[in-house]
Amino acid sequence: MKFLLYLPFFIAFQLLGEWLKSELSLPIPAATLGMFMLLLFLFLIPENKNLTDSAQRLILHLPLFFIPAGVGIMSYTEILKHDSLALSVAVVGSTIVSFILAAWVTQKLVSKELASESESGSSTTQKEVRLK
Amino acid sequence: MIKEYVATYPSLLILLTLLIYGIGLALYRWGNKTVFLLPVVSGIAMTIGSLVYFDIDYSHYFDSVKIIHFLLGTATVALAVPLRNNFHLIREHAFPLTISLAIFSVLTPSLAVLSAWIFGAEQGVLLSLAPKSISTPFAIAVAESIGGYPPLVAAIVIITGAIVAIVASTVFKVFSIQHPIAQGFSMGMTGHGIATATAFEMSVTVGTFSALAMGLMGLSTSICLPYLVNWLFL
Repeated sequence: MKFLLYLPFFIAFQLLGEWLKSELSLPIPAATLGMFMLLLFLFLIPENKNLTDSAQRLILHLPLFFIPAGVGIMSYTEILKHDSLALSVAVVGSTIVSFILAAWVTQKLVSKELASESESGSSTTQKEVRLK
Repeated sequence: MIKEYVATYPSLLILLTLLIYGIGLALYRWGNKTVFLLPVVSGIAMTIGSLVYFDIDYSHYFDSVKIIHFLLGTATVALAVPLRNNFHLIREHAFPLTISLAIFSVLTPSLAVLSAWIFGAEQGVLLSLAPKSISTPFAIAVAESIGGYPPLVAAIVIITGAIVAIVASTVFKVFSIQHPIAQGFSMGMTGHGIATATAFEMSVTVGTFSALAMGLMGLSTSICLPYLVNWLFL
């Protein structure tokens, strides 16, 4: 039930995002602005277990919240049919290729960084050994 | 007859959506979490099926279930909490993540546009494909500014996210991507919010990096893409 008590907290930041967007007429979505504002706020307060639990419950049900927007595809079947071959190649093919490349490159970059860290780590232990 | 009931009691559509989501979750568990039964995919498909069957149009449906759509914004705001709790991980890997982001905010839209151009799509469709890997509100704003078709963009973005969500675990197995940071970051960079929902099912770390990548990709693409389009088409 604590979850329901924390819901207004997130809605308040959502509202702050909407207010910022219209006041500053920014092209960035209101929810993203709200997320960044909440992130800044969270750096000012200590870690709160109830808040973390409530956020996790809300995030767990993201698939439900996508349904209203996702069902919108049904209005665009005509346009989807029109350039269907090019669209399916671009959407299915290029998405999978980009995704594989993104996963592979990021893994290479991250593991390279981890490797160089452990190298520098070993050099500090060597220094310590030398100091002894 | 059902159409008239729905017109008088719009909350029936909220009930319908929640029931479908419940069925979707049950199916997903029953099918041992196979990717083809992902709740986001089955939920959208079953809802479209029921709306077509009962002859209810989309605008009426959307107006009735606005409260559920509103919570999408609330859940997006709540993504700040795992970001904050895992911020030390993000800061530790700031360098490789920045490079990866810089590469893919150019490469992903270029690849999509190039492949559709080879298969002869018209310019409006090409421009609608460019913002396909960023979350819907960003993508629509970008499409408007570069001259794509916003309704088509919304459809493409959702399908893209669903594809990434479906292929993710297979890709990680086949290409042995074991690092949770690489898994999450690539899912968020190519599959925005829909893939992020799936990433949180894998683990909180994967989900956090997916959420981070989604936010950063949205920002960087909306800044870079208009320039890239000018350079490609003029």
